Amino acid sequence: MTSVKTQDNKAVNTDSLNIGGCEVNSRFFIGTAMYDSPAVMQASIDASESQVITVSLRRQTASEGLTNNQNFFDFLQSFQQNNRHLLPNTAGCHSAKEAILMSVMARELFKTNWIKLEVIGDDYTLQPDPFQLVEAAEELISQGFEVFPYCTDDLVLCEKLISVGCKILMPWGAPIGTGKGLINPYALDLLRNRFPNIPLIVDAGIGKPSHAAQAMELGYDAVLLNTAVAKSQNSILMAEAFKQAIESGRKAYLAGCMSQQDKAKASTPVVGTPFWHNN
Amino acid sequence: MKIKFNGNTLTIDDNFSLFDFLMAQASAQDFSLDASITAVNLQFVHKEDYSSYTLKEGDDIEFLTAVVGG
Repeated sequence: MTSVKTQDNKAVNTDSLNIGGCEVNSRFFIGTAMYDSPAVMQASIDASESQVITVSLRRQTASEGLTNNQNFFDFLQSFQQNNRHLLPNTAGCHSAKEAILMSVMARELFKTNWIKLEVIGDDYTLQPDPFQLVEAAEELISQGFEVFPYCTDDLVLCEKLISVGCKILMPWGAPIGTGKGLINPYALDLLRNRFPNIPLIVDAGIGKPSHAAQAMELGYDAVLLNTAVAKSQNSILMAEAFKQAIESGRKAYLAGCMSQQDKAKASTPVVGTPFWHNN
Repeated sequence: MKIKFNGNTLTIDDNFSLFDFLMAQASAQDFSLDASITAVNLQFVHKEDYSSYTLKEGDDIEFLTAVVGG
């Protein structure tokens, strides 16, 4: 948990995040894909101290084997204990119909009404299809889902998602897996200011801990990432680095960053400056 | 009759229940029914309905399991 200190140096551990009807202490949501091994994945999740991990559904294939499949499922079931949560995704879906069916199946298998709603509209950028996304979100919300929509930073799209009942938004920082960071901080800042009471999570495009810190400094409520940790040379250490960056960015936001100025202003007092000012 | 199972066309006997078919697949291919979920013709099927669902010609079965995801 991010421990916040007041001006009189009293620690206040009240900076938890209410999301999807649950209260979590970690603002770091992490994916489970692309790690070197299941052991590295689990150790990285432990290092992240995340309470929300993303999972998906795919066709059962013989090559996976019963042991791998059952072990992963057992891990997920154990993870769900102690106020930790699964966030199934609809990755790979290209239509509202596909995403709705996958969501229903995910709810049944994972025993959660949370869904990270992805409806891809462009295969090169993996940019969401805004029309199918809104259609799917509206239907899923009517079926009782807590929809976490993966969306772009488009203001009008976000307004539409809220108008059909989304209580959370997950705009991208950059396209999935690119590691480019926040390519449009202006748009993300605009969303934060326009929707002060909607939990906002930057999802995708984060490459470095400093990117995550930047998102949190903007006032975002959490960060969801996967590739930057999984593809690091040391995933476990990187997970810890992201955890600290997210906590640091959150503290900076709560503390209140100074306003930028164009004119330089000396930080050392100018009163009593010796020598040259006496001329 | 012919059905599709995870995208592959299979020929099976008539009067197979979904449950019997999936049990046979699970046994033959080392699958777990516990960690899986099924749709037929793009309609989700509850596990308690596997036994009462009789497969018919052209059925398209999607048999999904939990995998890693981002």
